[in-house]
Amino acid sequence: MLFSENWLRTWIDPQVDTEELAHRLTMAGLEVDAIEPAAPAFDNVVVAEVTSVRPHPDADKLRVTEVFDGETTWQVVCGAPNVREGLRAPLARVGATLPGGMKIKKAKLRGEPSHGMLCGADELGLASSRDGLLELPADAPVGRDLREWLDLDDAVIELGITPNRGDVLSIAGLAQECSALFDAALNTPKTQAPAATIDSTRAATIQAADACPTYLTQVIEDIPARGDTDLQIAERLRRAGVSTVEPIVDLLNYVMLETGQPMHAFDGNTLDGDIRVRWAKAGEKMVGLNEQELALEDDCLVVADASNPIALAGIIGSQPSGVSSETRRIVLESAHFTPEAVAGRARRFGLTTDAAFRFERGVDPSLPRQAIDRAAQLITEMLGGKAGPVIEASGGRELTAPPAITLDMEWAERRLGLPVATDRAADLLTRLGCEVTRDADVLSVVPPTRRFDLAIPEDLLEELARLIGYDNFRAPITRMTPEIGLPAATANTTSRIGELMADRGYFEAITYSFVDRDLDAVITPGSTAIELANPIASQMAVMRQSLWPGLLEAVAHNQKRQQPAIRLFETGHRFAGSTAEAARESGELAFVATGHAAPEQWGQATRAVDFYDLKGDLEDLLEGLGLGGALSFRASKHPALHPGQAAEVLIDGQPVGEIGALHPDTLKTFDLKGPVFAARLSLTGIGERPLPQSASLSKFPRIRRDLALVTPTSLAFDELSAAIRAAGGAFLRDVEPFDRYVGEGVADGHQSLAVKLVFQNDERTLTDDEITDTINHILENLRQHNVELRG
Amino acid sequence: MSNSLDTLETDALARIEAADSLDALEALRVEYTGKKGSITAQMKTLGQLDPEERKTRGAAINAVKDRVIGALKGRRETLQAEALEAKLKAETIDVTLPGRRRPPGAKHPVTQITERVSAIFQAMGFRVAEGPEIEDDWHNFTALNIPESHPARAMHDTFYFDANHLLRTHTSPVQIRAMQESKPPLKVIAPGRVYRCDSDMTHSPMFHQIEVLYLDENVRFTDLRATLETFLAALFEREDLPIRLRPSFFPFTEPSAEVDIQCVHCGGEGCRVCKKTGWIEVLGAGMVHPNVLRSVGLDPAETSGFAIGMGVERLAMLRYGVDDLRAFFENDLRFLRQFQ
Repeated sequence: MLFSENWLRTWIDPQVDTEELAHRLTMAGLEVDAIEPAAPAFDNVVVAEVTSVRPHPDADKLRVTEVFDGETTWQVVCGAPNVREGLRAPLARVGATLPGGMKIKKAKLRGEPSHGMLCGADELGLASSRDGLLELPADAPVGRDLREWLDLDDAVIELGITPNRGDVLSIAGLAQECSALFDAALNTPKTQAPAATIDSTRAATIQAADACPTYLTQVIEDIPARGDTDLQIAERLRRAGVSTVEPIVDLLNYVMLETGQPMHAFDGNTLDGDIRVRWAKAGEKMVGLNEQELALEDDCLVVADASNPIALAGIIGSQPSGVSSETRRIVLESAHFTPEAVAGRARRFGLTTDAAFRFERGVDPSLPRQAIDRAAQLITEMLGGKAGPVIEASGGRELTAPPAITLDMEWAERRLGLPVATDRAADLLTRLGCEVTRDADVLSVVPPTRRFDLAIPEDLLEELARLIGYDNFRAPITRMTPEIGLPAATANTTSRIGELMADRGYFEAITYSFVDRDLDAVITPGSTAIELANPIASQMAVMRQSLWPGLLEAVAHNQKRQQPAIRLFETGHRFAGSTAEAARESGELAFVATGHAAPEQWGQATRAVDFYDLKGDLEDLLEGLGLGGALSFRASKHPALHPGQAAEVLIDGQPVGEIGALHPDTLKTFDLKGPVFAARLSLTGIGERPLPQSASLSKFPRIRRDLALVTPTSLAFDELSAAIRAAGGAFLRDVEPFDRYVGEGVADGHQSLAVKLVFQNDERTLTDDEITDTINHILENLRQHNVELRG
Repeated sequence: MSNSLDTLETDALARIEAADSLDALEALRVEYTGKKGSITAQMKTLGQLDPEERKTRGAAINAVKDRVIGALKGRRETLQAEALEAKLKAETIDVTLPGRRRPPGAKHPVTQITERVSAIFQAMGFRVAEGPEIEDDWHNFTALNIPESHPARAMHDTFYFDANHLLRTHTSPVQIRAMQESKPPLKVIAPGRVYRCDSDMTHSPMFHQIEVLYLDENVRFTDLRATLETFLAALFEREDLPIRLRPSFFPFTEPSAEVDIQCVHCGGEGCRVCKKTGWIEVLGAGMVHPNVLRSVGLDPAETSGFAIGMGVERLAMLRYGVDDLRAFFENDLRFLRQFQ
């Protein structure tokens, strides 16, 4: 919300400068977001009168004028189309400095001397409703300094008002707040309601009493044709960020800014019969003042005449009933609509209006009478016209004072941490407009009707704390129940996982949880992703069923930026179940690698990452998580992965994830250069590790035997290893391949595999004979799998 | 005879000194002290001498032998040292050539801040809690004292799935779940992803928050401030970091506050980062609203507490000097590498 500091100071003038005023407002919860001068710097610009105008002898578009500045008449050359004899306009005298630093000097324009410059609004940084010179009213004081006359040495203060403080969305409201803050008296301008000079009325009936407790109307007739809005009014509107529209509308906006009561006027000649305030009928339509057609629903409160809605109550009027420059007869509306009746409707139609903004937050229900009187006064005084009597329709419900809040000051001390003297509390609350009665250390507090946010004792605690200053509430912490916040020692936290991944060269990515439906379907085909009703973009339309799509997009991003080695990981939720109702969220770790296996280095050959690099990373990770012994892999098929380079990852035989090379089709879909390798693991599946348990170390030597075997390539190493172990007896501890060869000298479909066997007995040294016997037994068993010792 | 022994010795010592390899030295050893060596041959001549002479002569030959053996040993050591030196010299490498590396990666800056904040609160006895990101309306709004028509709902540009389900707009619903699961005293911290239907230079449709909740008997407004002072001083690693609390509004707290720290860039002098105010807003906080307590069946007369909520990206931007929010979600390695 924007407001003019000087306007506020006509209501209340605390003896502090702008900066201190802003600081005090901020520290009271009305946060000052910005302070801007009301007009840019300029000087030596005065109100002047054009006394004669003649054509320029040598330029079609220029006129040579005589301008009186209150002391002297100057010849000034002017190009504005609206310059005319008798016009009062700003004159920048010779020696003036205009916004942006332009100096006005004596000049000759096409041969004609010019002593100064007649100015338009934009040249002075003011509101401009039309091109050409800024037209000042006929009674503008000639010779008066323009800054002074228009009160331009003013600050526009921007406040960020929280939704609970609808009461300060006006000069009157701010003044009341300042009165409490500075303990200073208010200087409320007097409203003189015009006497009714005609009998015309427009009756209203309220058919929705809960939504509209009171509805006031007043007819004003014979409003003469009018020119521009009074400049001082227009300036105050401009400084409040409200643009001028039409003098009647502008005055109603002015009353709203001054009092806080949103006002409306209907063109009296467009209405059919009496006014009623009622709920809309489903299917009813109304074209708003902004020419938008609104399809009303039965929870929309409307103001209607006998045939049609003429306003969406408290939000926007209808276009046909709106006031125009031709309007001579108006029906003023000043009503109270409850926040519940207005909230959310404007937003539903994509509307933001000053009225809706205020009614949603709550407008003081005692305001309508005062505001309609003020509006009628300003309209009849400034524009003319004859006012009828004010007609008040009531929903039949008395406006009652808000219930009293009981504030026990001992309780207040327990909650705030420091005592506030009961007298002081009573005084502070009284300053805010509350009615306070005291019984020992208990206060009974009736808040003013404008404070919709004061309902419970805690609300009053905030008021006391904020007036005293939050920063004055300092005390050492009393106590905190001692608790240990650490996770279990056996928990594999995402933090630990992240450290292991980072240590292995992976960078953590954070990708959006919503992804493109098609990309998600490539990774998780055959299962419906949960769909957002209002996605921000089509490529963010569904909740990810896996972290792969986001990570792969991140890989593509980096490949396009010439990153030679890309290793990324992410942990986060994946979303299963096809609807939000049935959503199942679970944690996933995903990681991807592509490009160089190691940085290019002078001493080793550069090679690309392959399946076993990623598998090694996964194995090391799980080793680091205490799950190395429980880990196994099983060749598998996954539609997004290479059919011959994909495996399921198992912990204790239970599937916990997948690893593999991306299928060429997947690469294409994600616009990736392959090969790219990806893995993912369920965080639940790897979330717990056993606590390490120590065993005593063997005193007897380990014995190593190497076997050079020729095996069919169709025999997976896991199967070979199982066959060796099956025949290897209790003392075979380790089976590891250490060399593999395919090619010349090895039959097609076969490979030569060197395998290291390690034997150990914890109770004695194994003999050569024992081991030779075991090896023979192993070889015998291997023959059944078509595995031979290499000749 | 003694002359020839002198000559032999002089000759031998000179040749040993001149030997330029261990092989040559070995040949000299054999030549002089081997079984058929010339000094050994001299020894063999002793038998022809009378005992007196044999004694003198023997001693002289032995002395020569000892000196020759000593020279051989000395020369061998020299040659060995020279050979080792030559070998080591030949093995000299350029130690300034780069090593064989597997450079480390890094956690995301948002994660680094989250973990730091969590660690500080864990040290104060708070435990980390989690909740779903697809929330229901009740947990995200109603239980937090944000009824259907409340204007605060408009401030949360919400992603919806259906009338009752949405992407959580803040981490506050984890408060509600924590209160439903355990009774006070309760100390939890809930970091996580949150979502708002808004995207521009300064808004991301997804970002991160950390929620802190403390419930107990008679938790006081001054306790909130003391906790914030401890936390912020630890996070920004400035002892006695000045903070200030400004009244604000959140539906789920009363009183509510926005919390500023003294600008960590200019020390409160006023700069671009703090928009010349000397203060930087870092988080929101307040005393848990009695309606929130009631919504989970707690009695506000018996229990009070405070809640703190902060935006992680904002803290990360401040801590690491990141000036574009979008950088956090582009996952550009050139950006991520800066946080190793």
